[in-house]
Amino acid sequence: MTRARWRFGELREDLPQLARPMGLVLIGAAVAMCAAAMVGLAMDSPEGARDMGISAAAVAVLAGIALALGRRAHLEAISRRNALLVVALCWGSLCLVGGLPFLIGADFRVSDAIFESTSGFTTTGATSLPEIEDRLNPALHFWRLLMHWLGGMGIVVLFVAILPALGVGGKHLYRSEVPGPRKRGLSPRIRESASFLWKVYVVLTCVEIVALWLAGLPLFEATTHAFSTVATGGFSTQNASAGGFDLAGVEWIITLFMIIAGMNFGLFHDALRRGPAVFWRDAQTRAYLGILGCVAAVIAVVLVIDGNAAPEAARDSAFQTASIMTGTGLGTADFEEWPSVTRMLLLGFYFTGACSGSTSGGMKLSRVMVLVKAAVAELRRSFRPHRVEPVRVGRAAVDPATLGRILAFMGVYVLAVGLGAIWVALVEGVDGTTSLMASLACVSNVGPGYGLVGPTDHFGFFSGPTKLVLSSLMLLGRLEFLTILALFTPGFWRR
Amino acid sequence: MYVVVVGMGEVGRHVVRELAQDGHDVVVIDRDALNVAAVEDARDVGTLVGYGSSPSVLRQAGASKADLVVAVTDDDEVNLVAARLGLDLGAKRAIARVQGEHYSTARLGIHYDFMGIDVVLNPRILIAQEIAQIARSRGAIAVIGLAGNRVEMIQVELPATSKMLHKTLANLQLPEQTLIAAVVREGELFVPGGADVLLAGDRVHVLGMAGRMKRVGEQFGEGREARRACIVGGGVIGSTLARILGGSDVDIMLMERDRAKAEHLAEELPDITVIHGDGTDLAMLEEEAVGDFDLFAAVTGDDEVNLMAGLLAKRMGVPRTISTAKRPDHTDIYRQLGIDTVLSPRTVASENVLGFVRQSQVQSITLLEHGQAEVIELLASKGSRVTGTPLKRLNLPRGALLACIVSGGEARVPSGHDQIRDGDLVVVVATAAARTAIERLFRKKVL
Repeated sequence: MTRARWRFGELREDLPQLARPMGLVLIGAAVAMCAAAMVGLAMDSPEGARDMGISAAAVAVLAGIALALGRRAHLEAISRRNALLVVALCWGSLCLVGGLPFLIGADFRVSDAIFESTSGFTTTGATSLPEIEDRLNPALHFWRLLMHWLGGMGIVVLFVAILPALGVGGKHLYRSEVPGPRKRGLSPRIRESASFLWKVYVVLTCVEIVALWLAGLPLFEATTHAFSTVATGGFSTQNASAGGFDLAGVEWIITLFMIIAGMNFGLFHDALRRGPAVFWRDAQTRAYLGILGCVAAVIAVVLVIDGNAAPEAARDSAFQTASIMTGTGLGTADFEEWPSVTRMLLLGFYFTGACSGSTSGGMKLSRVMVLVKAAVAELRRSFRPHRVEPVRVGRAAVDPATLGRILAFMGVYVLAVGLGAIWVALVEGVDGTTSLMASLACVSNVGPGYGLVGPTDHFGFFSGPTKLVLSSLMLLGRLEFLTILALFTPGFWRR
Repeated sequence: MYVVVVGMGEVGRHVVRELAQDGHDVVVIDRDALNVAAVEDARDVGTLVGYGSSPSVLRQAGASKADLVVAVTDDDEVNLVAARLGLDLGAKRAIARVQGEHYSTARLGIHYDFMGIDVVLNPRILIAQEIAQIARSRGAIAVIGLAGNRVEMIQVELPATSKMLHKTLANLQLPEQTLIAAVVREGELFVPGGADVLLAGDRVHVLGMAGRMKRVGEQFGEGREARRACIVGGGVIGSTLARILGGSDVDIMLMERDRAKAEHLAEELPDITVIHGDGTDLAMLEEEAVGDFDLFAAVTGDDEVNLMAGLLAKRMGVPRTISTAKRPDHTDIYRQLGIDTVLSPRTVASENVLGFVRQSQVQSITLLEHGQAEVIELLASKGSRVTGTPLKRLNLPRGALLACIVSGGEARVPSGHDQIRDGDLVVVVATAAARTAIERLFRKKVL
């Protein structure tokens, strides 16, 4: 009998390479916490600034340890295997330290803090807090939304964009974090692609902040809600989410930016060179806007028939459709009180998500499109088996290997949702809708679900272990399974 | 710099690796999806599957904004068309490799401005020229011409009987205007100082004025100029070599396996002896008394034949054997087995391409020992740090040597009191680690 040889021993050699990126990411977190502390000072909340300051110091110490361990690292030579480990470690450590301010400043239980922080960085937007407005000081509010913003485009991608000369290691890192099946770079070097994406992201955020400010929001609310929108997060500083402002203009602006955030950011690159027609020529964007428009229109009609005034119906329907499809999860209306057909229409969006290459959650439309087309092709083959017909998305044919990967991805997706739902039902004893939607809303990074976890509810009543399970589902969904699950295959650790 | 590389063969892959490491934006094109996937996975470059000579593929790869198009597929015509098209689409410069002889002549391994393409290089002809230089030298196993052939750098392997062993370099009596630029000991290259000692088996790179190098060869080795050369393989390299050497008074015997080809060569080259036969046929080699030749070059398209023929000739007593190898990664093994000089068209091609890419103040670059060190020709631009200071006060980085200064057409090996003037061409030998520091010295002072 041969004995399997394990690779744990190599961990010691690889340690610097793993520790250094982690240290850098933690430094980033500490800097972000300092920013939140500043905001606390500016907002007249010294206790908030203190909480954030203490957390920042603690994180900086951890970062220092990691950097000391990794001072001899060659990041350029980072292998594909280590890239997976690095991204998983970076996200894991972020989700842990992100909860620190809540532990210090708002008496959270540990599981609540981890849940909140994971929900923040993965841009899920599910919260365990029933009343957020008074429970948290401005600095903590800002930190919640800042986590969204950092996690939206991806903090590892940010480092790929900033650090010089990561070389092919940067490429492996980038691919382990950026969601979506198509990951062709925008420019030959990955660093430029990464920095372009971040630039678009920053510009979008700034434009939205100004727009919201002009529409009547205070700067603090404008900034935090812009973070939440562009990252397709879902946290809000208000108990009643974005509906709490009661400003039609603000709701329309947020709707518009949610829709933009659900588009492939790479297309902005092409649009800069070849004009805005590229959006229309892209099959995924066409499908995205088409489906979004149709479903929003149908829901609006249903709402009007149900007795709502037309302008409110249109606004709420557009907001809610965009919010669920892009996986944002902000709310202006309680769709639990709408006719049930609207919820069934929205249910599909929990699975599909918006475009690949965006900050949205879910499986991504491009994958769904490939599957649908493959299904149609298969149908046609059933009565005309000799026809040669590639599966096409837009004009490009999808090769069988890609199709296989997409199928595998969908399989894992459904399995994760199912297992999560079984856990929630088993441990919490809640009804079927609640269990399924709690799990689905976490995996797809949407946030609110149906039933007890609906748009006006919260996840606070779940037990600690369930919150940790749901947190890991969010992380799995954000990193699209592969990055995390690969670490749990024995072959990953075996020589 | 934005570079489009067409063709992911041995040369393409090597060029791409070096360019990506230098931080250039690189897009590669190959028609084989597997080749492309392999490069995509290993390098931080953009990739494209498609025919390199197709306008739409080149446009997609960004040829219109490219600073350079490098065409190195296996197909000469595809390379020429791709380079030409790249320029037509708006690329600033283009370089193409050809391998057949119909685009080049024996004297012209590098063709400038052919069809408007900046550089068309034929590595096989370059190799033939290099072998010819080795043949004319005394005892050298490699010869490199520098600074427009005013300066030469030869490589000699020290036999156990050499008079140069066990003395410090400071005490060696070298001919005037020559110096030891680099020593390779057990595969490791170093730039020696005055206190270093040479050992048997060292390969020594000696640099000096072109006219004085014959004496150096004599002093270090025990060789002489080749009078009789045997060439195995009548392809582009073999026939070009025969043409070049045949022009001087060297006796040449050329072996070609293919009857028709042999007859054609015999018709075309009346001064040389053409033998129809296999270079690995021991009986025939003995019959033709190959052991009496003083240079043996196995240059067929088949690596195994080249290796075997070279080893047989060595055993029969030929003092200098040269083999060509398609796979550059095998050259060390060839040497260990006893072949004196191993040349690879792929290496020559990628070195030339890279030299072309890297030229800024750099006029030309030659790589030593797989890039462990470089011989760089640098132009001392006006106001750079190197000018106007005696060399001994220059604080050169470790592993770097200012080997030669060409000033107003006159070349000299400098001493510590020498100064570099504006516009001088300087030949520098630098290990990979010292290279950036050296180039910085030659750049203009900021502030």
